[in-house]
Amino acid sequence: MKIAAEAVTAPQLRLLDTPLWATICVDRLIYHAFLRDERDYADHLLDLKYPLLLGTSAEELLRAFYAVWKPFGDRDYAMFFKLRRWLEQRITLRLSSSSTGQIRLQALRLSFVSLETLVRSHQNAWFQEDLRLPSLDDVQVSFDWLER
Amino acid sequence: MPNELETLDTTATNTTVTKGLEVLLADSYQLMAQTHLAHWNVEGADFFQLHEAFQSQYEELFEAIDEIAERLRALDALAPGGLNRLAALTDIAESPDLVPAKDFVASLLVAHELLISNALKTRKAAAEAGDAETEDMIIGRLKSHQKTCWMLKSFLK
Ligand SMILES: [Fe+2]
Repeated sequence: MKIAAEAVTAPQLRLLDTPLWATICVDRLIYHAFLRDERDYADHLLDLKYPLLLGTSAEELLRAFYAVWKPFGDRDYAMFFKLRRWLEQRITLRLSSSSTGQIRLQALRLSFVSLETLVRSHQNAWFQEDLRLPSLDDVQVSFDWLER
Repeated sequence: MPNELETLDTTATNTTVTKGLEVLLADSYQLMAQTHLAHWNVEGADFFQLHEAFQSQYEELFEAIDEIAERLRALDALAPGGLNRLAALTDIAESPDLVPAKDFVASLLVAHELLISNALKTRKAAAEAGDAETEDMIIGRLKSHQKTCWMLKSFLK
């Protein structure tokens, strides 16, 4: 029996240029987490897998990454390291000041804090440096995908 | 009596093998430089242990680099040298000057894995070219890198 080609074509899920190793590694971690009955870890990994595949907003992906990296990153260090380096190469940090209208693009360095602390530290660095800024919250921080 | 063609050494003209060896040389050189950097700048509670482990790793790489370069000469190809030329031949990324100790270990692990995946292709090319001596040398290199990977991975656990 001949199967129609369209019947076996996989849906086009991969919108982001996620490297194959990243999705394979995440899948493997999910499998091992299930085997060890670590539901929490597996859930967080699943929450990371979909933004990784679907290429949703950079911020959403970073949030999902931090949500699993912070509590569990130490046990699968090398894999999270690779993922972190890849995110740093693909995502840029965009800072803008509401009062001066200035915009700065900065390389992303994912430190072992939280996304909120990371944002705060960038707001603080600019605030300390530019005396014209009225407050920390004058600096808006967003995350953008880098053009390929 | 063997015919003249059978005794001809064809390995010298196999450019897939020599190009692969050039990459192996460049990857090894970059890895040595990165390991040396980690040896100098690593900090923290594991300093003494890592400082010494990194030293024995870059010393081992230094000797291997000489062996790879001399194999290229034996195959009648020139050995590429100079930091810029070698950097252009490798995809191994440079680590920042200072990162947490575990990041030094993880970045070296990634570098070893990249070197291994390139070396596997060259080992295959050497086997296909009937160049058993190059194949043998690469097998030795692979064993050494795989062993280092095991040690680095164990540290990260
Ligand atoms: Fe030293």
